[in-house]
Amino acid sequence: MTDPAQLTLKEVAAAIRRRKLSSVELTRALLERIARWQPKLNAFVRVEADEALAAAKAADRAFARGKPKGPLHGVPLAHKDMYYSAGKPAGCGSKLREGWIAPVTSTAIVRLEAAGSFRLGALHMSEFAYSPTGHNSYLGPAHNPWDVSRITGGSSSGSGAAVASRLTHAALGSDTGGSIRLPAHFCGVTGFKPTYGRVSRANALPLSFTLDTVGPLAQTAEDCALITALIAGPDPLDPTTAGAPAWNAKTARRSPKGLKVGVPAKFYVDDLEPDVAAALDAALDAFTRLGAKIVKVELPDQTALSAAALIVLAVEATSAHAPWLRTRAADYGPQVRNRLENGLAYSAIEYLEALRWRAPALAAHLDALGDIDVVVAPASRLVAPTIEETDVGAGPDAEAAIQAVTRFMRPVNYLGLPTLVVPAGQSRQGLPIGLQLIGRPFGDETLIALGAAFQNATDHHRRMPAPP
Amino acid sequence: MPDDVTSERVAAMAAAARVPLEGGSAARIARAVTPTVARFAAEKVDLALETEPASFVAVQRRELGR
Repeated sequence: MTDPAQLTLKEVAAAIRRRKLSSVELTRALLERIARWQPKLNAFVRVEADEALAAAKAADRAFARGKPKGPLHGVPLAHKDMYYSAGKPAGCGSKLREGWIAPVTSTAIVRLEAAGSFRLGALHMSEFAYSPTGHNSYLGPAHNPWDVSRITGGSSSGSGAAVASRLTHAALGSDTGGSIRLPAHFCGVTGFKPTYGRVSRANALPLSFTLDTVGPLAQTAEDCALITALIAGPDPLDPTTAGAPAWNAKTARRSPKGLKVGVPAKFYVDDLEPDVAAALDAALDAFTRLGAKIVKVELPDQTALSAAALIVLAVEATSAHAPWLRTRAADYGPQVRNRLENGLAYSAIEYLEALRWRAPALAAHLDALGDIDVVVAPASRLVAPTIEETDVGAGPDAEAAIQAVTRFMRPVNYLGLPTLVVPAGQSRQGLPIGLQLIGRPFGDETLIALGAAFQNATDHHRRMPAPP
Repeated sequence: MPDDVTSERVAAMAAAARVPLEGGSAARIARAVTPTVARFAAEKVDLALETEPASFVAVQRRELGR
């Protein structure tokens, strides 16, 4: 059969179910691939080969006894190193968590393991999920598999690199200011940031409790749906999920015919690199052919939303890290330390006004949308820049450089909207270009439906970087 | 509301939070956050007295009946 590493998550799970592939065969194939790619990418912080093979053997034995656990039975997965698994390290990309052993397991991991998946290892991330490029002064940078001199995007840097190079069929990331969507764009994979409150964040590293979301990166929208359907829904350990609707598989499979797709009149379409603009135009043509109706939309000023998001993020992150800032500040990398110190400067009134403004800002956004189902926008004006040119460290231009990378990201987090990033083309240098499909609150399944239809009509998501 | 942040303000707020800053950090922080503070202040958000952070959830959940 085809190299199992190159199958989609849906395909590989089905191959195991149909006994065309064993979990041990799959795990060995992935471990061999990791051994080839890891020296180039620095995508993994730990590969747990022996434990993964033992879990694969146990999965095969259970299957032989007729006791599959669920839809991911026998599938090894690796996730960003901020999802806790009881008894395992979770370094969170920082010297401050060196040697720390998680006492509990993240709800998302509990649910994926209940469905039959098991750990392959843990993936690189920006320190404490607080950088959008994939630089990490403690771990070294993660490298983009399309061109190892370029950034992966962050903070789910290892998740983007590992899925793009087919070292794992899916990986959890987290998105507080673009941390799933940027690596998906720069690495050429599909990334899904669910509606805020749809997926439990319990026992995953927090950055900003108002903005944090948990979601997958994978090859396809269908694979993202497979993961999200398993991890979404109420969790007593995360009160933001109270009343969250169950995943609606029927809506996620609906036809895109009749969907109303909005294209922003400004901001997201300003100063795009020509290749990015061309990818957006081509995608709009594809959506039209699929039966969607394309309309222009005048969104409220996104720069104000970005500023509000930044205030909320900065204050909440600094509040969480205040004990270490008081006692172990020198153990942070210089860029993250500076960003955390920035959060000291906002007043309580500024923070609370930014927080209280979310409701009227979301209402204004929904008024502007009218009956539009999905807004389409580039994930970034640029394709992946080089590691060297974005290595701003703690320099005077660092904050401005970070905000330039995350320009199209923050409004979505502030409004808590679901967003799917789909590969939509390549630049002339062969670097991936991703588009954001931005939904209405709890319109997650509609995004999956449109993304899946787009991927059935195109092959951007099937392209893979050349092996090392 | 001031729309530029001074190093004196930053130093006072860091002291209030009991976070020690190295020399020069207050000025750096002031430069870094001023554009954000100024942009948000320029929006002149007009919030109803009754608006609280959790009002967001009420607006968000209206979509469930859509």
